[in-house]
Amino acid sequence: MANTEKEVGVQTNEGLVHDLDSFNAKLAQVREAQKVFASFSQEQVDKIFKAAAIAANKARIPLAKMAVEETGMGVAEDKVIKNHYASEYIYNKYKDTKTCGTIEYDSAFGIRKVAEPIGIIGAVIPTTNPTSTAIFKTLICLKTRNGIIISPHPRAKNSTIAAAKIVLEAAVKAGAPENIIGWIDVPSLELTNELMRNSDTILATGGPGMVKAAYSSGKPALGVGAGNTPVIIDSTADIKVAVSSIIHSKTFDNGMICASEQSVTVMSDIYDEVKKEFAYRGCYFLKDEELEKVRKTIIINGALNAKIVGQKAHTIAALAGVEVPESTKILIGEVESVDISEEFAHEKLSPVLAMYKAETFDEAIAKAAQLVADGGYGHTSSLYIHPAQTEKIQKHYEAMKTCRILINTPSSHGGIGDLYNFALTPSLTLGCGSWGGNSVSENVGVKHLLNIKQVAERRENMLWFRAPEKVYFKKGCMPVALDELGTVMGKKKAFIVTDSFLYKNGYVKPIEEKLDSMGIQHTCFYNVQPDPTLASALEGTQAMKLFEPDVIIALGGGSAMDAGKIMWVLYEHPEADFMDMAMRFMDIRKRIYTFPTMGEKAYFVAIPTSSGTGSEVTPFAVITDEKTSIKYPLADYQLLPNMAIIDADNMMNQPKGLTSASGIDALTHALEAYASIMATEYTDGLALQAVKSIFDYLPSAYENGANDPIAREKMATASTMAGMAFANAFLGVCHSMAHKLGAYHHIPHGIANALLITEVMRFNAEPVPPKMGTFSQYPYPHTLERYCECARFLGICGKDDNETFEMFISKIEELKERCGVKKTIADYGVKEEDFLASLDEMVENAFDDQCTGANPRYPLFAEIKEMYLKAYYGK
Amino acid sequence: MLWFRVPEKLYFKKGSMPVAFGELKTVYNKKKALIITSASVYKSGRTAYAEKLLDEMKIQHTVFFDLDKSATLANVKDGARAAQLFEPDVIIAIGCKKVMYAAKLIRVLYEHPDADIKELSQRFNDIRSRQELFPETDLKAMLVTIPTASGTGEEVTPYASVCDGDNRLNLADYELMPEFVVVDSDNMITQTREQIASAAMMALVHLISSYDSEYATEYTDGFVFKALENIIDYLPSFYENGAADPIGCEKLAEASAMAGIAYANTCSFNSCWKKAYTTIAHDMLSKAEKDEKAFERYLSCANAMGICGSTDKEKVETLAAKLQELTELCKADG
Repeated sequence: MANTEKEVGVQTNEGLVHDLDSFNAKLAQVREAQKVFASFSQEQVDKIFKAAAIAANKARIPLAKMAVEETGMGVAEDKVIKNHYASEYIYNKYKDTKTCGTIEYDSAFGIRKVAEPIGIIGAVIPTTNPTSTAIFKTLICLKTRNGIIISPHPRAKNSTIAAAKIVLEAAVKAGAPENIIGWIDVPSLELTNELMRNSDTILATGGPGMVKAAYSSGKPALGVGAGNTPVIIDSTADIKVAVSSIIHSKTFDNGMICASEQSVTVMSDIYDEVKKEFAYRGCYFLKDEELEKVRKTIIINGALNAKIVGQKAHTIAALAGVEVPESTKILIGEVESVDISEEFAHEKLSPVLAMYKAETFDEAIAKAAQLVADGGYGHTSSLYIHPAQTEKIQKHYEAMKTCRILINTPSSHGGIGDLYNFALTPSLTLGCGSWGGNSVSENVGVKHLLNIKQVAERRENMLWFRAPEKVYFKKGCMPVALDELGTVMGKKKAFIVTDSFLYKNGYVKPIEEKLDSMGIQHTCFYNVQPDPTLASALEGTQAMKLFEPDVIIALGGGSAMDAGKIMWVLYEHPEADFMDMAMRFMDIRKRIYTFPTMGEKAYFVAIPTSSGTGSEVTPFAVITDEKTSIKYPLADYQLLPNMAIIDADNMMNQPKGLTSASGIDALTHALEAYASIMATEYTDGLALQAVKSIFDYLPSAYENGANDPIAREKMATASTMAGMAFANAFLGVCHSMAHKLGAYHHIPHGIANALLITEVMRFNAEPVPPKMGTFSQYPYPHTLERYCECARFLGICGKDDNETFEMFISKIEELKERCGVKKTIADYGVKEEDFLASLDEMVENAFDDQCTGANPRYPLFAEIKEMYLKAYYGK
Repeated sequence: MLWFRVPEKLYFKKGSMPVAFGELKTVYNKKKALIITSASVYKSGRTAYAEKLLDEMKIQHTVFFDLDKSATLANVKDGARAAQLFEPDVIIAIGCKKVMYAAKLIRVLYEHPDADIKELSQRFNDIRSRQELFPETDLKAMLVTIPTASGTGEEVTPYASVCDGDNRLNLADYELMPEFVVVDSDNMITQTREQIASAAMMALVHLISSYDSEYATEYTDGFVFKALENIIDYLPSFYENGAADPIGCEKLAEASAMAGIAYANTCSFNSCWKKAYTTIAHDMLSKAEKDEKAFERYLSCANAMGICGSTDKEKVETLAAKLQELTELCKADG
């Protein structure tokens, strides 16, 4: 006999995984199989998944019986449900889920998601749900092309392995590689640890010890932990539904589902009624000494007594020496403390329930929160309440640190999903989030067993072309255009913003006359200084508030138009904060600050009197806080004027200095917009036309002034076109540097640009810059070619790009000279010592200027400094 | 007085539609969208993407696609009735020229149920006559246009035209202009060779008409040059390779919108109907011969295209030859 036994023993271990060697051999087999499996198509995988699910489903009754026999725990009929659920519901949930190759592709955004298997999943399976968990885990691994090795619980190994075998055989028959599912036949702590160390991801279901081991193994783990589900029955609950739901759930498989209810907190006003209903439905309330006896039976030395797990109420009562009817469904202990020192406050994994009384809903929540802290962090909690009590429901879900919060739902069935709520993912592995020390907070499914690659194709930003709704031009057009204010728009009150020079010299008069003739009331604010200050803008705004205009007419150069825009903002949105509005942005469409909507109170008309800034068509305005000397550059399309009127009659008598400075400013706008990383074909056409007009007509406009009205008009148009180009393509580092030169050394803006532009062009034209600008549309440093396109548009043709570029630079230098621009910063009377003293600060501020972002070459501090120095000394 | 007008917002770039659509919710907080399209675009499923985007933003929507081969006044009235029942706060036109035309007029009738399109067409067929006021639009619904053909450019114009029996009703007023345009070449990538050819020739006709127009300005010239450059450089490849040339598709998409901008601002609406693309090059040369000013204009255009030649005459001839090449290419399908 002994001999035979020995032989049987030898035979039993042969070919079985029972030690390190046999484990490693199995590991190698599964790995090999998984490599093959990884190349399977979705179609093949789906066929295997279906066949395996059908086979597991067919075996649901024998497997359930086997599990109960082997473990001596639970209810066979309930385990049939669990097996059925693990096969049918999991199949149904994932049958159409894409898990192989491309699972998603968005051609508009150019993003593809590709699913790849993880490799080998190390699955730890508990004794409480051995067959259903094995079915669940093997099925989701098959669906995701993973291999799986199971470490069963020693007390449930036969039934666990039987379930895995059924799934494996069916899978292989349907085409899966042999050995895609493996298991440890003779489980031990050593082999479980080895499995954890050697798998690619651990799928650990079990108590806190097992979960902790999984997380400590150094491998990624999806582990879940213990629950201690507290239930609250609110005064508004349907008591019959609540009680029977709790009994149904708590007795399911004799209370072994980890989401099962462990305590009930009942509001005092319905306490007796609830108690009566529990008793009526077959629960037993433990009396004084009975309570103490059960207390000492369920928890021994602070730990759950394994003997009660999954046993009937009657059996547990007998163990405690308490007599209860055979048919008793649940033993209920009425207790008061929710502290962990109270045995009933623990997780009991059996039909034993604690019951508490609460005077207020807040008290009930406080109790539930403590019970969660006692041993169910992250798991499940539940509430019975009238569905209309949304405030209480919210209070509850905000307070519970659990990842599943079930309303009017038996928690065993509710927590695993798809039975009482059909959006909660069906699963037998429930994530408990960081509160439970888990890496997932939801019900674990196939998505957790995939590596998702994201293939991101290069895409270009959406771009735009925006201009004022109405742009009117041609010499003499102003009265015709203004006519619309009366005839089309029916405006009643016009507020004119201008500077005192223009006002004194009668520039406002034709506007006033036109307004008078249409019966439009008007007033004029003419205290705008060059470099408009916040103080004068506030003064104008005050006048505006009193006058309440429905149209604002800004007449002048950049200063008056900018001041007008600022007053417009302050008039419409007195609450607006300049600091916020002036915040620097990398992408105007992604900026943090949302500019307020303009135009609700007044329509904005811009009428330029110089041909340079282009402010009549741009979304920009600069204002200086005279107290702090801080400049606020504002940029938002909300600042775009509604109507621009470009009438060269307003520009005829520009002084020579203004003609040349603003003309070169316009040229710089066009050149920087053309070289900008945000240049588009829409802006290119405008920029090129502007450059050409400026070369053709600026010299005559400068020399002949009002005597050459055609040149004046061409310059007016050029400046507006350049404005439209940079309103959409933005500028570059020349403007950044010019802004600071103006701020620190009071060099007029146009002149500052003139002094810097050719230096900046040489800088940008470098085909091998240390750093290029960052923008999806900007492919490689190509600014030399871009400048040459401008040159050729002017008819400049060299033998190669370098020569063309040099010819273009000389032509610009020639134009500057003809328009009386001096050679260097020094020539404008900036003292060397002052210049050098301010240099580092200018460099840093220029670098941080809003215009720098669109420059095709990303400038370094030292490079900006060098350009400044060259422009200062002229060499 | 001259003017330059474009839709308030013009968005472009391949793949821009979902980004631009976001504004319907985030900027405008729209609630109900009426999509207007043609049966063929609707059946092709191209509107489904717009519907998906609207669903994601929880903007209710419905589609009107019952347009005849040439949109008719009856179609417009049907569409307006649909709009009056549904009460959209945004109308989204997705399609070719006739869809744009129909959508512009459906909005007029939706906002002004008593308006008489026939009567309006008699008074507002020339955008230069600005004596009378067209009924104001954008009162109930913003108009969004999304072209599916790279040619007509009607997505950015103030023009509309429908058939009424044997008559064609032409309308031109800036109140017809859309407020929001999305030129996303993803919507044009599946054009057939025939569609590419006829659309490109349409754009070419717009360009040359605009350039020849007495209302041409430096603003419109800039758009003409860039659009023409794109057509010359990219049409042959896009025509040849279709969907396999997404870059060519995008360049043609932008060319057509730029041509549309030029044509919208040069009053060249009516003349367009008369000009046949096949004679463009020939007309150019004969005009250049007769008229020195015209010669200068074509020479500037040739320079803008970067055309080199030993004489100015040669440059203009080269330009004409290039256009001739393009029209020859498209003749078979146009």
